[in-house]
Amino acid sequence: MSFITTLFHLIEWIILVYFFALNFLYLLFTILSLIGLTRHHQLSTYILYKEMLHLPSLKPISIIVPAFNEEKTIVANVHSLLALEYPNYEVVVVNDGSTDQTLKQLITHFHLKKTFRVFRKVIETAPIKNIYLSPTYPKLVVVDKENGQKADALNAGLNVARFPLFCAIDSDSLLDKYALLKIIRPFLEEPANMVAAGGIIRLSNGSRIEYGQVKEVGFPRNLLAQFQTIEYLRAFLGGRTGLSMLKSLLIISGAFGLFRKKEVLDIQGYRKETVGEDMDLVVRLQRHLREKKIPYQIRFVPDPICWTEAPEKLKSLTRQRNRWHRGLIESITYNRQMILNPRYGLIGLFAMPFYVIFEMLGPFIEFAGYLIFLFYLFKGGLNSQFALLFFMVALIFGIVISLFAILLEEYSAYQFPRFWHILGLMGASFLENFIFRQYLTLVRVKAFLDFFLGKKEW
Amino acid sequence: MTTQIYIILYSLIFLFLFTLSLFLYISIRRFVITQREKRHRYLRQAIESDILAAITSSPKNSWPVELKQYLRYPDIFTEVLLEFWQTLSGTPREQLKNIFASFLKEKYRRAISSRRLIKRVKAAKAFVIFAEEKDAPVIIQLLNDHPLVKLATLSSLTLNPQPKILESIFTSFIQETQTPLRYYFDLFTSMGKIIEPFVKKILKRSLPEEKLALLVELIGAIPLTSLYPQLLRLSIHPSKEIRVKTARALGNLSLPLEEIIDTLMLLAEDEAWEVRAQALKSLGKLRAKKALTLLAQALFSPYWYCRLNGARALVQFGEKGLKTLRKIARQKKDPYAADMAHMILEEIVTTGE
Repeated sequence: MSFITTLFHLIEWIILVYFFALNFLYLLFTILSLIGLTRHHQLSTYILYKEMLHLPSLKPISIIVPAFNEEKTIVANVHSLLALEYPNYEVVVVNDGSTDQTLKQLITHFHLKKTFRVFRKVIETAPIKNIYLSPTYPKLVVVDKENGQKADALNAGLNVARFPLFCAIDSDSLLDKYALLKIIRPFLEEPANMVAAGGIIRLSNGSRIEYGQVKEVGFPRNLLAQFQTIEYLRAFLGGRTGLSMLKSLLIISGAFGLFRKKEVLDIQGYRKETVGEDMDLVVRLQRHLREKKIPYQIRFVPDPICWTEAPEKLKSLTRQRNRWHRGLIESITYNRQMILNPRYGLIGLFAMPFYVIFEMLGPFIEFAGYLIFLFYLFKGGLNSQFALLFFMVALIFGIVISLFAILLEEYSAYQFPRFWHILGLMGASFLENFIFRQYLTLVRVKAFLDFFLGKKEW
Repeated sequence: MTTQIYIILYSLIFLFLFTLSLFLYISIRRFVITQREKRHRYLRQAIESDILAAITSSPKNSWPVELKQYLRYPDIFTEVLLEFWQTLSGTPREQLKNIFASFLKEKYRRAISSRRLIKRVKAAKAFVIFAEEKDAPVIIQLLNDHPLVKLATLSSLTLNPQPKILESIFTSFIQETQTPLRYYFDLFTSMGKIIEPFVKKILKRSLPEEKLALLVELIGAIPLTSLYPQLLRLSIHPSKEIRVKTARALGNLSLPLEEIIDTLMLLAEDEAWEVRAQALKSLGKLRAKKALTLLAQALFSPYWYCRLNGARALVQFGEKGLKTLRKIARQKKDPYAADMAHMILEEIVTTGE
């Protein structure tokens, strides 16, 4: 009996230390982000993006858009991409063997014509059936290929893309009009070393959208979307800005990131065997550059915005989070040799262990915490000291960090315009800690099991 | 247990107060920003009308005292000056420059040496736009600063390419003995076509090989298309390095002119294989039909790079080039040529056939 009690106490302490360390690190990232955002905001005041359009050193960009069964949104989204402010870019839409009318919609609306086009196949992909160009929209290239999943479609886009920089985006996302001019900034500042930059993903739920552009930021009415709004603010404005300042960025969202093509081709593009191709690419890219001792920089830029619709139904949210977590585990296990390896600098010594402990294994520790709490609650004899500390480090500390994320939002490029939006965000910061957070922990625990059971589906 | 309940209560009170203060902070911040914007608009209007009155009525270099009061608001003052500068042209621009020199220049000169990056970025833009000939050394200092300061300086130089200042930068390039020349390459490339007359002028001088090679590369990189005659002359330069760079630059210009193609065809038969390989690549870029036979012959060269570039160049011609490649791949006389043709045919994907 005494052994079990000691074991329970040990687990209790592990859980408390875990929650404290997690929230402490997030607080550190948030403070760093606050400094970074203020600085970025001040500097941006003196950089007029319209003036940047004249800079001859702006490199052309290929926007790669993989599309699978997107017949409802593809035309509007491509239109919005064709209207971006940037001097020289192309939009490469890759129809990844859609079974609906995606290709037909594109052909009809953009007057596409089949072309004879020759390109170098640097990365192996599923066969390309045809390449279409539009006489009315010269920036548009549509690649029609057999289905091979997202990573394969992105690789096909990489083969066809003509420009030295490429921007990978999701076909259901919308880019802010000046997003390319904003995300290119690190490449202008450090042209020799910059290999990748990530932009911020904001949720468009509740916002007013006209002609593929967000005209007015709004607050979602759906409770799930409200919780995700807070999560995204915390993750992007807090987490990624902070990690980027610590030179430990391991994820550039697949929904919006800019990369130097040469380096990505050097590592054979996106890995097809993973469902988390975005994180996997960034980790392998850093691994390759570190191994080759090539100086590089990867940065997160907080003002180029990509708008995306968050799932408002529990089923789709569950599927999305399950996929994300499996992708994370796949990337970490595939690149496990980087963990605690000084050869990979801060990435190996800090970023990878951080992701292993707090992202990959974290859900188990959180889950154990909730189980112990429930166990004591029903069995009686609740360890009041544990309960109190758990309440403080998991709940109170967690809410404070979410509230800080609202402060970060205030320093970001697009703010929620109305006061009731702020109140809504504050309410969501409190409420997400009950049921929503625990449910997502459970989803991630299941994703962990799915990964070891070999689940590969999206 | 009571202590623990107190702790929980205090935590909840702390959370409530924290939330409340955050909400108040956000509300006050937004209010302050709105008020500041209002005041900003009001001041802008006042400064605008006073500057307009000054440049239309005052004799040069004698400015009304009203303008002096705006020194307390240097940011708005500068903002208005910059906006006028973008709208106006000719003599009024000179007057704006004089106003800047009389009231703000010293302040910005100090800011350029500030430790704070934001101050330097802010100062760089206005200083470069209103710079005079004598300010060239300061501009060079700015171009050596943090990437953001350099970016702000370049963006202003691109908007306002002042010949005298650009000339000073080129003079410094000619005299340069310490700074790596690559730095100048990045700088000139960023400036774009505005440097064309300066490059043309400088190419008339006798330059060390390293500097000449950099300028040749620059012509192709920007590209400075009107300077192709200068490149044609350099195609017979005794240095192999210069000939290689000339061949590359001629391809990068993307001008399929007869004389350029003829020169590249001559370079494709140069004594150095490096020059030949580069010339073949450029002929492919220009899709010079009259060079088709020459490119096909290149596949039988004893040099791997010549074979590779010849084959890749043929791909640029589409079906015609691919036919030639297939033919070479089928022949058995020269297995090296056949292998290269095979490799390139496998490397490419053709669609819409």
